[in-house]
Amino acid sequence: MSDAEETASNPVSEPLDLVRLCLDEVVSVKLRGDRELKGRLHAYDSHCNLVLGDVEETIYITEEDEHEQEVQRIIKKQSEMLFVRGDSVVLISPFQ
Amino acid sequence: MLFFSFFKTLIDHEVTVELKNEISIRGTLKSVDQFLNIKLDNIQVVEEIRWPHLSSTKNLFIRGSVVRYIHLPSSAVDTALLEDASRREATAAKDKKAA
Amino acid sequence: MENMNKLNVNDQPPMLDWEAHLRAQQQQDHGPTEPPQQSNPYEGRVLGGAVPRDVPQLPPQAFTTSAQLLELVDKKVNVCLRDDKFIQGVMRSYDNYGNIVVKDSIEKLYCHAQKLFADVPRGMFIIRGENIAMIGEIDLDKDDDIPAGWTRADVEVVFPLHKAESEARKEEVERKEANLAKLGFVPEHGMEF
Repeated sequence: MSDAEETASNPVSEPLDLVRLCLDEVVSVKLRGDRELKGRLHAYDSHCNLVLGDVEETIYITEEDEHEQEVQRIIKKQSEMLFVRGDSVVLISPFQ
Repeated sequence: MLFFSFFKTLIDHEVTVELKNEISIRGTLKSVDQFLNIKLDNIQVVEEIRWPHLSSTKNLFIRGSVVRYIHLPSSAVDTALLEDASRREATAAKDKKAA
Repeated sequence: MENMNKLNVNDQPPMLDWEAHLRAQQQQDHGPTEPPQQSNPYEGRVLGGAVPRDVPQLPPQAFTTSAQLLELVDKKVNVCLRDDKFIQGVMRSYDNYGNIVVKDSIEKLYCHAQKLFADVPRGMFIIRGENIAMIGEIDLDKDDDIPAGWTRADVEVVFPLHKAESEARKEEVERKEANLAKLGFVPEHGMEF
């Protein structure tokens, strides 16, 4: 069918195809709510729900110290295997 | 549909669900639906002190839209199969759109 | 159903014709049932990679919102809302959107600073599904236990403390979001305060 041929000859035609190219690669994911993830992409879908392996999560916090100054600090967490819900995802990119 | 099927295979495994309101709950995955709402049995709230509200609760229904992460046991996941399924689902979705 | 006024929290739920109910619900939810899976090149392998277990396979209708919520009907539940309100009561009904009706409900107010809590009777609620974060089934054996370190107090005492705490938290969240916006972060909209 011409549509199938078109898909085969045009492998990257929409943004989510770029995500498909990142499968089994280490990706950097920016999330809503001051978080970033770095991990190996194992699964995704059109909602940007993801499954990542060997993940490192970075959370950015602002706090007030003793002198009432705003300080930024980060918290890092590790996880073996993580499902991420798509509605939090802002961007996905291959990790350099 | 991919993640719905994926979670069906994880039934009876222990998972930790982190919600968008910072609560983390460990429990046994008992059920999932197409919206990725989940049911957990025998729950244990991580950092119970902060959330005394759930002290008398043993089973939970969690609405899918409030989930941020679900921590999974890596032993329960076949990554190659997942990757392949993602590719097929993406292609199927595109073919359906083109049709 | 029989006269609803005669029902109370401690009654056993009536026996339902499980299959018939689920079939009716599923037709309502999804229309005709989906065709069975095509033959699979990955025969024998499970999508998640888990070892195939000898558990009895649940019928596909069990994996619907209706099936999950059906188990909670007529049970005492703890409903956690997206704005961090907690409502305890008996869940009487639900629908496909996860909207629920809770009877004999009590709103539980918690003050973390002073470790005080209070109950406010609220009567009957219809709660819109999109505002629900979790529905927990309360273990009736543990229902009367007070969480360790907490003391019950009067509503008149707890309510203003709770309100002040909520407002302080809201301000703090707004301030932090403004700060992090400078770093290029977007606030999360999953939880409303």
